[in-house]
Amino acid sequence: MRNKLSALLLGSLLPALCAAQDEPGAKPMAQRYSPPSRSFYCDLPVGWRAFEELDEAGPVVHLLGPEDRSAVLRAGMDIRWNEKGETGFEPYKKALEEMRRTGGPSSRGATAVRVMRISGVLARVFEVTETRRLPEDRWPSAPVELHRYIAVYPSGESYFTISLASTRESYLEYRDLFLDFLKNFKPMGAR
Amino acid sequence: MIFAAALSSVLLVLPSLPARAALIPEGFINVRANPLPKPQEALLYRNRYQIRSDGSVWSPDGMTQIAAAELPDIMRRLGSNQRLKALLQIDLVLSNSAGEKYLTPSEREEVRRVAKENWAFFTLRLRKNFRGYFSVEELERMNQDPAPIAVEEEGTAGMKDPEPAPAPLPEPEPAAPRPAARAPVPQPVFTAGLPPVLQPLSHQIPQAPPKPAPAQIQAPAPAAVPAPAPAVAPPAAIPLPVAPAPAPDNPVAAALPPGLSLSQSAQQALRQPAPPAAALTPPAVATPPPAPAPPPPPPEKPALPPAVHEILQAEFERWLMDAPYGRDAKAMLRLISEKAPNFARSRALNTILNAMPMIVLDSVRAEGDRHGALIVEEKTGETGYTIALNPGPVFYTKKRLFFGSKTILLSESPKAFAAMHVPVPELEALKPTPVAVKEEQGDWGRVRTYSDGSTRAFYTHQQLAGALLRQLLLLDAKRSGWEASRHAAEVYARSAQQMFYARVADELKDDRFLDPDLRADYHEWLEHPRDWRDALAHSLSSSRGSGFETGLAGPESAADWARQAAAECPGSLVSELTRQELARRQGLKAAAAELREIGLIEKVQFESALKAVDAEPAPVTKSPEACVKHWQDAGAGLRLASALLVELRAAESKFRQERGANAK
Repeated sequence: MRNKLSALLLGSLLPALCAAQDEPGAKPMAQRYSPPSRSFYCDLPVGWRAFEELDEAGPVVHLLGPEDRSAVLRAGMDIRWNEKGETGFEPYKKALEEMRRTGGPSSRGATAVRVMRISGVLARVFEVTETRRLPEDRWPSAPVELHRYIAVYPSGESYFTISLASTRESYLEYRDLFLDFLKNFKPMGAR
Repeated sequence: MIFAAALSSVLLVLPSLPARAALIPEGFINVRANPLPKPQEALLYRNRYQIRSDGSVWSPDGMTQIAAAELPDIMRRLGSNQRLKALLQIDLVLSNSAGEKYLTPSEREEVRRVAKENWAFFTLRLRKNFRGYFSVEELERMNQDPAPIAVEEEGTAGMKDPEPAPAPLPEPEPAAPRPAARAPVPQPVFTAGLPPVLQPLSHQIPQAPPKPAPAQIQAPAPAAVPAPAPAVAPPAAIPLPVAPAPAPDNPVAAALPPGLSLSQSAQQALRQPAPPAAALTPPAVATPPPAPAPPPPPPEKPALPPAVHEILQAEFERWLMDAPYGRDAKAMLRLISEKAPNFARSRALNTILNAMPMIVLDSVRAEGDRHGALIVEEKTGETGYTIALNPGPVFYTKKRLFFGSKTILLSESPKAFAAMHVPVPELEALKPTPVAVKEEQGDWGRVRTYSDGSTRAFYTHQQLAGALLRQLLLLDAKRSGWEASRHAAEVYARSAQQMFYARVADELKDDRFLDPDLRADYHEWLEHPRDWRDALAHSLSSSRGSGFETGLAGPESAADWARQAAAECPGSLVSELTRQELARRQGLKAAAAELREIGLIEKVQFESALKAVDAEPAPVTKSPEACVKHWQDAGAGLRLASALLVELRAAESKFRQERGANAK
């Protein structure tokens, strides 16, 4: 009986949920979020999901938002803490150069660096574009122009990198969201 | 006196014979009542079937009595194996020779010997191929044994690549020690229609071990180990000379194929305690602004990656020579054995040895997957795995008058279009037997162009080997339960794939064996590893990336998330299934929209596809009990995934350090 009820529930939910499409760029209300490592807190737009992992370069928090029109990329932010003394750490000036390196098979391009004051700290902000064929593993697959806003937020000699990835088609819709996010981004403790 | 004793014993035995024969139930083989032809009997012995003194025939593990109805199938299967083994031996002789036309007398004699010994198992076509090695008198003598009917010749004539059969159903471990129970020999599929030298060859296929419980391989918490099912003791009978293997001390050692041994260090690693459960923190929730405090460093889990036994290259090479895989698959496996990073190599090779997945180069079976797909087939309680690699994409370019052009990559599989509820586009390259107008080398390697401008490219075998490595690691994730975190499984498998490509590129001093898309991805991983990792999260979480549950993605919080989901059953599972189903449908609709946008389908067809996707039935939900088990299993898998990510981090860090040092 429970099975049938569950099936009915699922069946009734599907059409309604199918109709509710993600709306890129819609101004969502934010809620306060802090990752399990408690390294910062920020405003997480409503409907966005977050998780934290530790990769080879260090801890990273992914905030995932709505997907693009072709359903091949979920717009979202990635916040990385680059701590001095950790394996693979690079001073932020060198890291900036690396991140802004252009060319290569994906036709990577980068804008000039702007200085922006965020919570009293002078952060460096720039944009990166590249073209990739997405989805990488499914058919049909077509070229998609990708766009990233990147901010480097120093804290002593360590620093955060905050980036917002989306398709180039919709990147302007996320500009305000990115700036709002930076304004509300607060490293915790002495950082 | 002696005569009287002998007579009395004969009188005692004689009446008992029919009685013993009568003990064999109706429908089972009785070789006393109905003797088998000599070649068949020899074949059963050779394959460790037990022909007991009462005339009954038992499976190699001594657990199952063979029914008469099963005998033809078994004989056909064993005959195929024997035939393939013989062809392998002949292939080796011919490979080492200067050519079939230039055989030395000793080589010719070797071919004759192998063919003669196995003549009874050769099909008519094979006999025809090898009759040149024998005189008419010899042929007359040898052809007294009728050739087996080559059913497989009809069924597999069109096969491109030999494939091993799905792994046999592993048996549950018995509660009490008993002689090692071997699972039935996996069955290779073969093509008998090819010239002898090109025949897919098989040897004594390593017997697949009982399916290891997750704890056997990964050493997770003991609670995750299912209670073994009690073994059903076979009826007492006197076994004939076929001796069962001795009972293994270590289940993983028993899982090794013949010829492979478990190293001391690996055995010690297996005895290590399970990784401690991670200190978990609640998943992401809205929190008030916390008071400033010194931020703790990200907690490094003392988790241990699950141990896998090391397989030396020479050992694997030896196994590979007799393995039931075609030349393409063997070449790829050899490359994986040589170039895969150590952490992934052991895991991938163990998966090959234990699961014996079929490996095929078949774009039709790969369906919607661009590089390769893992297909799981459940048949009568047995689980078989197939890795279908896609040999290459089909291109269609739409030229616009003023705005350049747009090229789209398409599947060759009609099923991929059927899934979207759209017809297969009318492109020459997608027709079943297309005729190319030209073939040339380009950025995509060998490219065929068809009369309507559509093209078809072919991946290099190095690129395919990387795709195979990734699929093997995903298969390991599936079998070991750590695919619960899809994100972790994909990160692990893709990182290993990139490290593999890096080693191949280093050796070739060139990365153009990768297609331009994969080359871009490889360079991103190499030069901007952080961006690569972030982009992976964004693309995998999309509908056409198949999505993943973010709650299960963060190793810090995932197990806690799974516990909470178990407490919210059955709603949590319904919600998860709904998410998956929505992503699938959204992905199909978006893919159909892509075809519409480039003009490969009409507006009416697109609208009809959208309706058809919406009208698909909802997936079957599971019972509350199944829901709880689902999340408990996921929790165990997540601990494992977390440990494997630690392993990956260490390996990748070392890899980059070494690479940096070499660059300097």
